[in-house]
Amino acid sequence: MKTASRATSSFAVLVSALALAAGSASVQAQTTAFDPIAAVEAQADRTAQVARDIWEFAEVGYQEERSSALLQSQLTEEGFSIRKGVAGIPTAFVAEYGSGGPVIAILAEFDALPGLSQSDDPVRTEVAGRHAAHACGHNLFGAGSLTAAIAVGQWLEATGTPGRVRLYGAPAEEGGSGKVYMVREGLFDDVDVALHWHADDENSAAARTTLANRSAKFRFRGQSAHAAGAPDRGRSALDGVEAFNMMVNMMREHVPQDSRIH
Amino acid sequence: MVPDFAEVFYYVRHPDPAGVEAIWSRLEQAARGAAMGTGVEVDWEVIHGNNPLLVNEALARMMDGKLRQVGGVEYTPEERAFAERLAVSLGDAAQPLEQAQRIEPYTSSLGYGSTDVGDVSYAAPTVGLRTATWVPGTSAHSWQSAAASGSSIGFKGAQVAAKTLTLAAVELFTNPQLRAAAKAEFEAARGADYEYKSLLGDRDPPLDYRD
Repeated sequence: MKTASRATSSFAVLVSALALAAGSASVQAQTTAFDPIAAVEAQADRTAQVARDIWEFAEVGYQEERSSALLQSQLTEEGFSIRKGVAGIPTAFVAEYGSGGPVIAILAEFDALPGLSQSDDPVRTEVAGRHAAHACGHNLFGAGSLTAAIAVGQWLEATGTPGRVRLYGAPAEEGGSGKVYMVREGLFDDVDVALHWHADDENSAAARTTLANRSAKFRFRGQSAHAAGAPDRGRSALDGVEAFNMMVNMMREHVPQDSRIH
Repeated sequence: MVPDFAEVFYYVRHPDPAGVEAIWSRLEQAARGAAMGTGVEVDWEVIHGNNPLLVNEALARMMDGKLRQVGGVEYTPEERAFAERLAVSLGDAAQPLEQAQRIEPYTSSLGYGSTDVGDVSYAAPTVGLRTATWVPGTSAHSWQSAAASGSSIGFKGAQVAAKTLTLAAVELFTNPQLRAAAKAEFEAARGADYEYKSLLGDRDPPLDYRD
């Protein structure tokens, strides 16, 4: 780890050993030896730069090559080992630091949303040539989680605590369900606790659950024909979509209250 | 021209995966019926699907404590000017800027969005937080959230999150009782005979879904 000097490190191990003997005082004692908050503050420039870079890349789901590579390069520099291209997704990765002990996972997202272009001005301003934007703050999600993973790694090192911190580089949250493939692959099977966060307009750790969902593209195929000259020979795929939409509109009246169909 | 191809993209959401499945089979029947009635063919491709978030109270209360220890986002005079200007565009939705500094009360609620973190929460005890990276009153998926995400207000919110996550991880490494409590709650909430089932089936990642 870059910022943990050897002297600090061995002092912390000593304090840590004493603290373990003292039982519940351990957290406080270790905090004295290595301040995790200071370890985050020391990285403020990195956090901002990585967040800004990913914001400018504005790469959409499963196409986050540069964003994923930037996070990986920061982690490699800090001594993390990296498995990349996991779960059949080129931009997915798992980075790990430490050994033995419990495994704490920190999730990181970095995909942008298509169909929006916006500068960093506080008024509506499009950026020429950019067709996606970090309107869900996943650039911050990536940079903030990166910072935490590195700080935790430094703390593990400085205190000599057995344990592993993992950063999960999880692509395509927006409509792509990237993490589902990572879960399906068993990548979380040995994780003790997974931590995540999200950008918002308030600070809250309230217990909030979310809805289960599924999406699909329904494709209707008919028979093309001249709409005026030979309409009897045609079968309109659009008629199929219209009839389907009408049925779904009627169905909305007859589903449980907390459902959403859109 | 009578079109020979048309496509419609539907999302179905419900608090319970079984509720999504129940509505989904009715949606499939409607698609078949619409195709039969108009003399065309239909097929469909599932694009994505997420389980709901499984809340872990033991972990959530710990995270709430860490967030209160860290505190919210303080604006510099420049950031305050940025926020005041942006807030004009929010109209009635705008909230007092002080909201960025405070920590909301600990409550339990249902959010109507969905996230793939849900599936992670059925694989391991999971907990999260939200921080004020956006000007109070801003909605996700808006130009206002995009603007703040590229600004120093956003970076400060990410710092609050990084500090809180770091404190939470340190607590978890040093507190085996908390890890055990979280695991016991997790297993009880999933149920003894729980078997993971993804809502997107066995499809491969749709790597080209944004093309």
